[in-house]
Amino acid sequence: MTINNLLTYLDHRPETIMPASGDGRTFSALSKENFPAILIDGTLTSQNLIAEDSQGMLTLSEYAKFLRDMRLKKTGLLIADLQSGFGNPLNTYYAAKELERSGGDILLLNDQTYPAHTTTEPMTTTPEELIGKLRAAKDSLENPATQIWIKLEGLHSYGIEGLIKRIQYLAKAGADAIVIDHYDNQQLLQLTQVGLPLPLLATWEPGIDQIDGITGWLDKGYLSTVIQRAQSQAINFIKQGGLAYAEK
Amino acid sequence: MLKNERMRRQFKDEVMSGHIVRMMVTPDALAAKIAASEGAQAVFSAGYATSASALAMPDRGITDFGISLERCRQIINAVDIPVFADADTGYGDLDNIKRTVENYEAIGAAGMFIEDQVWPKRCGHMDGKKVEPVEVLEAKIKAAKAARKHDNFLIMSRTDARAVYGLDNAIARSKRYQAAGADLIFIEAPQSVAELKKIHEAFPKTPLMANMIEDGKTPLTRTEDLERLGFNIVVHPTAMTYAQAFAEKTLIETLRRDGTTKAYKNHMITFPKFNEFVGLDKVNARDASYSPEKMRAEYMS
Repeated sequence: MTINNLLTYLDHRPETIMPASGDGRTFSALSKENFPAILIDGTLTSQNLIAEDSQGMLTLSEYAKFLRDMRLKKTGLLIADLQSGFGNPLNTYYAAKELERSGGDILLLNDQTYPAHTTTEPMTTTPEELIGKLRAAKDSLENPATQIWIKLEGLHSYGIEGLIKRIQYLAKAGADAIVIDHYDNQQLLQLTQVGLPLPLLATWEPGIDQIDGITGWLDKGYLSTVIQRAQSQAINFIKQGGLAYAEK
Repeated sequence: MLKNERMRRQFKDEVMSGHIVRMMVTPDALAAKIAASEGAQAVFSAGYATSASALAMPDRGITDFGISLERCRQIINAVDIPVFADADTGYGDLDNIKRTVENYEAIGAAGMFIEDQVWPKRCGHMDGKKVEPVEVLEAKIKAAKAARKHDNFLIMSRTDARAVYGLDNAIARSKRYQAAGADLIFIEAPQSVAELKKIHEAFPKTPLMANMIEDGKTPLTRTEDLERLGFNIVVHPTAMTYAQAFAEKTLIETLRRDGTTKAYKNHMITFPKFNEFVGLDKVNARDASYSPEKMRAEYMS
């Protein structure tokens, strides 16, 4: 599937869920299904490559190497996880350059402090630093088609009003879209009723109500959760077999 | 035009220009930046130098695809001149060739060569080389051509048969490799200027590469003379590695003898000059350009 601008594609298919992957086998399975885009998620990649549950444990070079391997297997667009820029705006400049050269078509920058954590209420950075990171990422890009999406994760600390203000700043600074994370349905509904200057996407997991007014949905790792559940069952099955043998 | 495409086109244009391309093998990104700043037209990320700099090992097939690819990628990202890649034997069978081509093309190499040695290979100027039957590299070249996504990602054939079966056999093999689709021809380790001439006579219209290795099998020949002989690329595969090793060895000897590096200082670049060369001022300026104050004034007012 050749898509030049994912946001334009999503305009006509707002129910689209873009799946997340952090391992080659899942990525390969998803690629065969012709999803318009796949997110190479930092947390899932961290779990796969270094057996750590927090995205911030994974370094840029480790992540970028995996991204390069996956780009050779891609059939749609790649959403690369720029995390919180792997440092300050200067680090973000070089990180964004690296991820674009490693095959990222869309770079997803979050507003956490560095290092980013995989948690429901992460610590977020100031609007000034986030804008600095966005500008740095924009300045580093070589391909005019590459987009920067900003994932805002701090509703718990800056609230709806703070979030709207951030979106206004980010629009002025050149962001292509906003992704909301760690929200409840009421907050999401409220945001869809405000005239925002940027396309609004939201993270998705089973149970989320896909309401109107959201441009698209970014999976948080549903496949990985299902795989882990099946793996736990299989491990228990093997353990039981071992116990039965010992009892004999 | 994006850098990868620009570099492929630039390299192809230079190679096809009728003039010789001066290509330096550089052990790492810093050496590549130095070569580029001193007028090299292209850089070659090659096995002898990578084995030495990455593993401190000889070029004997110990350095694998992953190490070579990563080193080549670092070099490509550090310079704005074309970078050609040494893909050794392609690191396995035809499936490996496909992966090798896809990766080198994706990181932005201008092209790559694959050779007909038996793996684990040896540097072309070492004794004891063995070559595969000609059909093996023929098939690899066809697979490489089929795998590349851009016609201007150039595939060079390399034969090491001169040392094993003589020059006529090396030329005959290269004709087969050319027929299989090789864009460029490299016959490794000819032993005289007469042999260099004979290679050109066999391939009057195909771009050829000459390898100028110090203490190697081929006489060191001036670039201008190689151009007159009909060669299109001259590569210096070991010079920077040997110069680096000599300089570092002498430095450590001096330090051990004197207890200080003072006596060696005239052979070093200075602190300010080095920082300037690697762009410290530019990095600092970029860092400052994203200050909170500037962001607030520009985007939050």
